[in-house]
Amino acid sequence: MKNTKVKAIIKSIISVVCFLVLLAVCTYYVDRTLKDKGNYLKYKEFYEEEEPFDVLFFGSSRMLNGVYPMELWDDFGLTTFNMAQHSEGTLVSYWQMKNAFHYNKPKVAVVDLTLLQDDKIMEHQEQERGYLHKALDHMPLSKIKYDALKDVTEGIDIGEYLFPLAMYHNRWNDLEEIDVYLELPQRKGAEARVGITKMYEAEWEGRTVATSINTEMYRLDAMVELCEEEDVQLIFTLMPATGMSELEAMGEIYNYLELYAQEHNIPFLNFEKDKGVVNYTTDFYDNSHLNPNGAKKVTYAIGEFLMDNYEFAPKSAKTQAAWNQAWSDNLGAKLGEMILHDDHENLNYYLLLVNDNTFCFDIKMPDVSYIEAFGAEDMFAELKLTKEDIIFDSTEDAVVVTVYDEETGAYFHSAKFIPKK
Amino acid sequence: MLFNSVDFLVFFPIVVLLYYCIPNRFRYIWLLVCSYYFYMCWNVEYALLLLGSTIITYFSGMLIEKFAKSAKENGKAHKKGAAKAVVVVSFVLNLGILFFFKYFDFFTENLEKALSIVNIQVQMPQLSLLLPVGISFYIFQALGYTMDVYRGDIKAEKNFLKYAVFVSFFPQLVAGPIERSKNLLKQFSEEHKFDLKRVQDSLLLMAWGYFCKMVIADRIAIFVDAVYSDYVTYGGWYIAVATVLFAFQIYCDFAGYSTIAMGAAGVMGFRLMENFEGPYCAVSVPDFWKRWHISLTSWFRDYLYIPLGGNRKGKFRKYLNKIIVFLVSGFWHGAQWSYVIWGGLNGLFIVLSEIFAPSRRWLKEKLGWKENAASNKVLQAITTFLLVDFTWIFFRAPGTKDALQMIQSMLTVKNFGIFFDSSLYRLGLDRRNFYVMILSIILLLVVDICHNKGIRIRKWLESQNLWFRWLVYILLIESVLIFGIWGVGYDKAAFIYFQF
Repeated sequence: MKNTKVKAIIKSIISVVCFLVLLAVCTYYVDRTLKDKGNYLKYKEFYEEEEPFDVLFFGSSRMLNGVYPMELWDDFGLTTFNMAQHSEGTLVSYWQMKNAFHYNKPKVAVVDLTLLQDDKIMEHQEQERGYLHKALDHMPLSKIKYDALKDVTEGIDIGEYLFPLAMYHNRWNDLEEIDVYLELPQRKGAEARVGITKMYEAEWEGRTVATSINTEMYRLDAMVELCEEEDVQLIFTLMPATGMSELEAMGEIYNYLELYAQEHNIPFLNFEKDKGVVNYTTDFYDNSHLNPNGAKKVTYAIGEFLMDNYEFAPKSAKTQAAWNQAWSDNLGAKLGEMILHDDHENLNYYLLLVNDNTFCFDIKMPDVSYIEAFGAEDMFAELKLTKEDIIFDSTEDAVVVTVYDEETGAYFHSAKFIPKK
Repeated sequence: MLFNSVDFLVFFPIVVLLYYCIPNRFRYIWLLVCSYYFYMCWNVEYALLLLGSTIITYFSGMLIEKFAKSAKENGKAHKKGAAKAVVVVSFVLNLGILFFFKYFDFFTENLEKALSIVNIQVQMPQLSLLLPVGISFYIFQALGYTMDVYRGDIKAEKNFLKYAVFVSFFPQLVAGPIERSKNLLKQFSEEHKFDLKRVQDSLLLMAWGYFCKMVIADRIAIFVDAVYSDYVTYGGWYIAVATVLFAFQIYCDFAGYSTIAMGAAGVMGFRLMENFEGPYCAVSVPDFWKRWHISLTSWFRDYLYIPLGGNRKGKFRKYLNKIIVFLVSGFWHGAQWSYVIWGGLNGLFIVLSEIFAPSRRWLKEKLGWKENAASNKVLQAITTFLLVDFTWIFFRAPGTKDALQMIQSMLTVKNFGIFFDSSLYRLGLDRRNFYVMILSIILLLVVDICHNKGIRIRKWLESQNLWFRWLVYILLIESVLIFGIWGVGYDKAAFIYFQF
């Protein structure tokens, strides 16, 4: 009798446990399907990396759009990941860093300080709340995540971040194929915005040094401390973002940061001060973000600095193979971008994408007036294209750009641009 | 603490887990602590009102029993009178609390208006008090107990804590069902062993309640709120659609709460009374009221209609009593004339239905109308729905004037075209959300029709194989997670009946 009762209890417990496991599995897949894929896939790529990265990049959308890890792999053989996130201030960057080091400790961490701010949720509107989700939702459940949430949200609505389905369960209405078949973006975290905004060079010289210490400086102290503890080399950067209001307002603070970096013996790559890396007429997507043309230049400059100042361990054959595969996939992504901007109208955007050391291209047009017709004088100057480089063909009625693989010379893509009458 | 809040999802499992760990004789104390905590999550001070009502009715019960016993044993008529006096005192004190917190401002405001008609200008005080959540429910439950003891239907509860948990039992504390002492009180002395099947069944009930509330009611609310808050812009057919949808919103909102309450109580072994039985399957307005908010309707029947004379004093008094009951019921819902009109209209429909019953029967006989034909039942159900739905306008509109303007708009504005373009999808619910709403209403009606036909879906599910049962459970839970209106961007919508 007693035996039967015990058996019944065990059966009940097994039944409940099985049901809960099944429910958890289903909820996991529901959660995965409904997640914001752009963000989810970005960090999935990070967590799936098996060997330590050489470099991790942290910061706001300036960094996100300013450094392309795949280019660093192609040019320097560096394995890097761009962890930056939109509107991310120093507070969230600190927690991103702490979480990232827990899963993959790099040799170098590069932090962009353009958006030196404290991103407490209390001071933020709905939009910033969304950015916080982008920055924090990917963190696996852990004490670090809990501490990060407690710090960033000040304990308010912490459940919303611990259980992000609360945020995006309504996405059932916007599901696409990518939500089911998860394909990694192979950008290693970076974002590319294709567009051109003509900028001006803001004067750096003559700015005074801030006398008061910004309230968020203690976050930098914490970052410095964390990197020392973890034996990770820290570099500060200031992305080119001229003309933006923050720069006008914070120029003094940035000068102070240089002194801070010197004091702590931290390299400070100030692309805003060191003019000459980017072209202000062709390299900006808008007044605060670089376009691919500018990003590749900044990426190259950072790559050179890294190679000159640090020694990186050779990569295993497995890692090399994986990154080479990612590079080929990335080429596919580049082709995708070209096709996306093969709109027969915006020659500048297309040239922006074509200006890549992976490609070579030829350009045909009936006569030189077509450059003016597309307002592409700046871009032609940027590409250092002279009349000798252009094939003039009076039988054409448009500008035709044909892109080839730089190494093999194989045909890659071509597009035809007809000026509006 | 709302049922559809994270707090409750943490609170409830802890309560249940400890409930089954605690020896049976102490469980009611644990439930009492939890119930007061549950209530105090809204307002700590107002728990004193709950306690006050509990103390009044507890001692009333003791005194009534004492006087009644004495009257019976010694034949002293004045003792019976004393018992009656205690009932009156208990009612006056409890209804006094209710009046003060719920109706005081309404009373003074109307008194001011009435006096101004006879040219007496008086400035009456306005208290603007926060209405204690669920006050109408627990006061009615406690008063029901007083009457039951007076009538000798139950013995007065000697254990104060046990009585206190009867009044404050958290699953049904703030929005019913208004339990009867005969049913619930004794259950606090019973031993409730953990029974997996019962727990499963109760959890399924809770999941269905959440589905009704979060997927159906809160989704409909988006559309209805958009129309009712700007009925001048969205007149005519918009109001008609919103009013039809509101009928389902209020049903799913309230029945959703009751179902979660029944499920939550069931997990701990308690049986609460059914509060809804497929109300929109009703074939007449009286039938509707046998299926809608049963605990309140039966409360009024037992403790107001019958004491008023019920149907024992002739037809006119019967009809009058019914009208009175429904006017009071309307007033119970809120201190607003529109609620009174809503109640009055329902009472009127019931009386008219009874008055014209013989002539309807005569006409049907003459026409050879088949009473039991399915087509007749459907027609009756639709007619009943339309009549009841018409009264919901007064219930939902901000005031009587607004309700009348909305009715006028429905009759005059010609915008039938909204059914043929995408106008309906621009009021907070896009096309897909609208379809989810319609499909979930159809599911609700299927469940109700099955219920009406005597098919108990939960029983039927029990007879199915494990894989199918689990599939249904998981689908229900996941659909609440996916399609439910919850999380960021939505305020946790309070249950409509909390305000009563």
